[in-house]
Amino acid sequence: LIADLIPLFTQLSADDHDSVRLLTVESSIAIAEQLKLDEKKALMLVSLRSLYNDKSWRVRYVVAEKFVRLAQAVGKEIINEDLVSAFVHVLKDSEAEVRTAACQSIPGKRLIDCLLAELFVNFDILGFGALIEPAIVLKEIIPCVKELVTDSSPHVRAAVALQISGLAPLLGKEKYVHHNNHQQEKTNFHLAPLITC
Amino acid sequence: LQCLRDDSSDVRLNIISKLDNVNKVIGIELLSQSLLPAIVELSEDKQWRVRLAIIEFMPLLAKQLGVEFFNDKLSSMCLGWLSDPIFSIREAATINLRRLIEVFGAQWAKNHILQKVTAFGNHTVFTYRITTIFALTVSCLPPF
Repeated sequence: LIADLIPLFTQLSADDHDSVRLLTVESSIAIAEQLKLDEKKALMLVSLRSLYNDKSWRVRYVVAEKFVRLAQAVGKEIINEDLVSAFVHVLKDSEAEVRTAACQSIPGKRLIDCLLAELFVNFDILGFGALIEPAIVLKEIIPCVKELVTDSSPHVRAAVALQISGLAPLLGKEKYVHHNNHQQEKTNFHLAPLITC
Repeated sequence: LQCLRDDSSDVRLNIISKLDNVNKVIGIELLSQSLLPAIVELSEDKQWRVRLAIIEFMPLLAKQLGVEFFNDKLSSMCLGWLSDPIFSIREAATINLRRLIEVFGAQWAKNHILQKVTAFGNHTVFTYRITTIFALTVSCLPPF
């Protein structure tokens, strides 16, 4: 049945009306959870790319808001191939609302997830940062966070302020070697200046 | 059976909700003769909450009445709710489709629902297309 519904999903994810397209983000999660990796790549990737590059900020906002669930649904390989660059894209979005929503998916934990986790013991509390390698966090996400802490929108800065500490456990105490061979803990080197700025 | 013709929609809804007991005693044919007009009337009730209540009974009715009766008399009604003017009814109609798929299976959905839902996806009115997306999403979710 899902195979029969995918053409319909593809068609509606390219609908003229953004109110239709933004609802296909939730559909894409539901469909991706049921498909195998090769099926996801063959049948969904084009539609997913069009959603996170959508011309309407409302669609990109929904993508940013549901990014962690989307990432969990598509799996590690598509995350590394496609979703890291997509996440950087929404973190650098031209609309502050999209950047704010994306900020909430950055770290290992989201505030709302923590609240839900208290109600449902098995609720998954991962953020996007916890779904990718620390090296990728360092290379791709941290530079965006550096820009976001001085964002022109106070809402974006507030969202970063709420989430930035969640990156600390991901970076850990591992030593980071500077270009001048000086060693320092990754968290101290990358996050401390952003938190204290 | 007098209760199925009662003036109060609550009375009719309550008797329909407890059909499984009655069905065992008086049989599906006699029951369906009285039942069908009551269901049709409730499905078109001007109060949307009454329509909502009968939608929620549909999976139960589907189990009780069987696939043949359902296809003949009730499936068009279930698809009709997808274009109801009230959002809550359209939303409930999509969840109802999902529950019906659980009762009758995916092959039944392919044969009896897919064509209509796909046609909704091509409708010029965007609210119909939104309903299609809801139907698509709930159909792909893991079993309730």
